[in-house]
Amino acid sequence: MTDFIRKWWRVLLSGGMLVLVFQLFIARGDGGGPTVGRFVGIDVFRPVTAAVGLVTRGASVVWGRYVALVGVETRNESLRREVANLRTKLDAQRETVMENRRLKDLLRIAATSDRPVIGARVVGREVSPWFQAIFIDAGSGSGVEPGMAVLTPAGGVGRVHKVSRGISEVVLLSDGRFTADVIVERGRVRAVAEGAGEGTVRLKYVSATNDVRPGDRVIFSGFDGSMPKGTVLGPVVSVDRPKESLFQKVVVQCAAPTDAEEVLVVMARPAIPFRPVP
Amino acid sequence: MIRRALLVVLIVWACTAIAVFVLPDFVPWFLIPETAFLGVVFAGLFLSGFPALLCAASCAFLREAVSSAPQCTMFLGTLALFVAVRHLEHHLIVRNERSVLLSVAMFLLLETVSIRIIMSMRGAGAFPLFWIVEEAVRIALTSLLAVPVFMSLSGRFQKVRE
Repeated sequence: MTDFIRKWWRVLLSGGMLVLVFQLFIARGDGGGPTVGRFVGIDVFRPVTAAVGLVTRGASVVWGRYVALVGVETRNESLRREVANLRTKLDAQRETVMENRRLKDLLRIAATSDRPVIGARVVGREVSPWFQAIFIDAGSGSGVEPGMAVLTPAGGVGRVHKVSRGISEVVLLSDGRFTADVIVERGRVRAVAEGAGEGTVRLKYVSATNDVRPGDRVIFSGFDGSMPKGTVLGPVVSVDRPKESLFQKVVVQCAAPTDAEEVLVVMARPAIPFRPVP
Repeated sequence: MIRRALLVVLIVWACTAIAVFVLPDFVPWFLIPETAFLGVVFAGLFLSGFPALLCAASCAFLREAVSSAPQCTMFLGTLALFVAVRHLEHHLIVRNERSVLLSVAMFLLLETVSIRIIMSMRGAGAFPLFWIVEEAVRIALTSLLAVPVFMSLSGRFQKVRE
């Protein structure tokens, strides 16, 4: 073997150099057209370049996908946590914006009201199936008294029933014990509104000859002093005229949302002294 | 015995506070069990003497406080319920799951029917069918909840006594 190399080293060296030259030509790709030499070079050295490419790609894959990814999981985890935090913050901000909007509406009502009002938050709801009431965070300490009206920008909510130092109970309009004098706005028909549960109120003593239609807006008359005059009760949703009855059966949907979070308490004693709901 | 009564009162007050101030925001009313009612029935069935009365009176006071019912009616009505449960307790020899389930369901039904009758006599309109279904769900849920809670609590109290 040594003898062979000694004898042919020049030829081997020149051959190696030629291979290198070919390789360089092929790798650079000088933009010239296809030549016989190039074809030969490509064919001869394709396995070599393919093998080199395979090894390079393999090494690059191993490096890129495994070695370089050490610590990515930790980073991913921290990014995930950061995204969750940002989402929570975004939700909180969205909630703040909504609350801001609701409070602005309340302020608008407070500014236009001719009676003093205070804002209160709804902090609880009665869970018994027979009565419908909410708890607000304003009590006798803030000057709230039984019988005062409770409103939202959308309409009336109810009437203060029980009062303690920092909390008051408000009987909702839809409670069966709530009654108030109301007017159907379009036909000026007067009636007595009585809570009918499920966010609805029925109008009593509406004569069969009165013109009341679904969609008519019903407002509080203020005559009984329980709610401020003109406060919205809600739209009429159904009118039934039984043949055998003197009166129509009118159902009104309360305009104020049953899940209101902030309300206004009208700080005026009712014109007629309040008797607790019997 | 007094410590057990206080423990029951504590649990009832905590659960009622959660039921009134937290749960209504995202749970419909008929899926919220009435823990104060359960406290009274538990006191009647599993406690005795002054601690039972103390427990029942506390639960009755709590019901009165968180209900918009006319003054004192809920308190007195709940105490009447306690007396009725005590009476049942004298005759109910076996306090097994079925007896507990039946007695809680029966008393809940009795209470809701009697209040409905009183409200109807006062002029309240007929309640919709959907409300009746919801009320049935509430009664069933509260009665079903009573069984494991009562059995677990009474079992613990029994172990402590032994």
